Amino acid sequence: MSGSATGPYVGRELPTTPVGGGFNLPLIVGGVGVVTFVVTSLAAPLLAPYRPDKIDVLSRLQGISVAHLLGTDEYGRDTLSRLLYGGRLSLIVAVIAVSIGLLGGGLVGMVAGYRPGRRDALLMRCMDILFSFPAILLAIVMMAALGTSVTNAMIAIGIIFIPGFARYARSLTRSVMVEQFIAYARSTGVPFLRILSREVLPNIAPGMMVQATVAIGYAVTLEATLSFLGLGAQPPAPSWGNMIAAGRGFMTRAPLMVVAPAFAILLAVLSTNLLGEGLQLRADERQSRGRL
Amino acid sequence: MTHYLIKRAIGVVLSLLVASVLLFATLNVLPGKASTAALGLNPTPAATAAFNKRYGLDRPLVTQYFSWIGGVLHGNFGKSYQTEISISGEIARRLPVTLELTLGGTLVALLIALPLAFVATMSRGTIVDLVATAVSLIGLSLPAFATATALVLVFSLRLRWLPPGGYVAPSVDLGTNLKLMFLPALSLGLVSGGLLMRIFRTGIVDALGREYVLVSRSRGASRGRVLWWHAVRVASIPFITVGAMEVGAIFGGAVVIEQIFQLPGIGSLVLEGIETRDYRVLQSGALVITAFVMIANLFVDMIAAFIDPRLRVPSAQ
Repeated sequence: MSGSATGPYVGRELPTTPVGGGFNLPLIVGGVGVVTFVVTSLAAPLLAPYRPDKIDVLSRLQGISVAHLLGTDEYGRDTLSRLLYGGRLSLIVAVIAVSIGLLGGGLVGMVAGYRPGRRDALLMRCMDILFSFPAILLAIVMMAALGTSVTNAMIAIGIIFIPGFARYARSLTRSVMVEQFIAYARSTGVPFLRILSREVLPNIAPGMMVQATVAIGYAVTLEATLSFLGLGAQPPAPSWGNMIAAGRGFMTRAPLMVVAPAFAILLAVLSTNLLGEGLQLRADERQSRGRL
Repeated sequence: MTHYLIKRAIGVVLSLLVASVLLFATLNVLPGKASTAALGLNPTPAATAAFNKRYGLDRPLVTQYFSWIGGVLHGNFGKSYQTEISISGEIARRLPVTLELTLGGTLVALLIALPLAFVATMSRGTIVDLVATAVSLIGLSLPAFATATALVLVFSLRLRWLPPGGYVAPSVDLGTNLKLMFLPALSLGLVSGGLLMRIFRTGIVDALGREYVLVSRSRGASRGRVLWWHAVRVASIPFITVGAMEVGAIFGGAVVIEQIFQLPGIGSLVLEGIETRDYRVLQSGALVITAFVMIANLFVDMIAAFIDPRLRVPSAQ
């Protein structure tokens, strides 16, 4: 406990960030990780040594080798290639799902936060109820109703994100609404939608983007979970989730089949979490600097 | 406090009713699925009509909803379309499994979060803090199903310390039960434990940086007293708020974990309902899980209101 109560300004910094200087370790590590995730996903067709669905029964369930850097699966398909294409799928699902949540939740939150009252209460009550379902359960139920496909997974995960983004957008909007330029705009008769789009949106966008970064990581885990349960991407399309599901049957002979995709999920989600934290840290720094 | 409690309890009941409407609507707007699943892809119109009549599926949706929810309020969830088994009996049989798993998961989460957060704040800025933070970050970044698979690989298949799945009731053999539940509870609790550790750590560090801590220390309060009275109490509010949300995550994660470890709980009932397209089983199981999440949330909110009196006044929120 020594040094824990030494001064009033020990408050905000996190351990991964050395005190002093503008050095933001989470931002750098997370940023590098996320850029790697995005680049390898987008360049999957160029980087993958094999087609992700190329079957080679003679070399099935292999370990690490020069020909197959991360081994092969039960059909002799190259695990590294499937990992890269699976990342591509995860990234696309995550980005579209988060965009759905960001747009839907942002809109609800801005409208609700514009003015306290019955509209605000009703909207947020609906969001609370949506929020009270466990996310995975809600996704499972929606997939059962919509039918299993990647597109439906995006929609289901996107809907799950709406209440969280709505709450956040509402609290940001409310803090903007007390500003003088809003009072000025309202008193000069600027219409409601124009105030939201021209005055509120630019002010809440940076904060929303930080939330969106963290949400990408969560969307990746949700997509992987749905695919693991057989409710998301359908085989033979590779997804980190269905790769782990398939690999569970061969864990003693080819542990890489589950270890490799599990590591990929860990790295992708860890990177987005770190990046989100780094961005938050930078925002806090800027705020505390602004107060001086 | 009583007033606050009653208000919250009414809120939970209303939310559950809305949730039941949502579940029913989501799963029943597309008609004809139940009969297709039960009778095969090309049933004769007569067979379909007989099936729908038998289960009351020929009635308007609103009537179907009220007959379902009316039964639920009397503890009768109806019968499975596929197996004709009473869903209420099935839920009663499976509920203890899910509750044991989720309680175990919560316990693991707390046992990870609280000690790690304390160790991390005590030795802030050192390698111990860094390791504790890294462990929590890794825990919260790996989804429960991947953690579970990794744990089975290491502890069941490689080291052969623990069984990879299955279930024995604690009343039959407590030792075997605990052995079987250890890995599921661990994989379920790791994710929430990692997140809660970070929340608690940030809360304590944040509180210790406040001026009232400095003032209190300068007036001669001991470090322990300051830590307990000003830091832990203050930090426990965000901890409890996030903890309430994590209750949902733990119950949701249980659905996946039960599937991996072949535990016969409500979660696996829900997934079986999907597999057999038995939507009545699916919507009933999902409603029960949601009900438990909401009740657990209410309980957590009560603890928060007990610690922080400001939360009992609605305007202060």
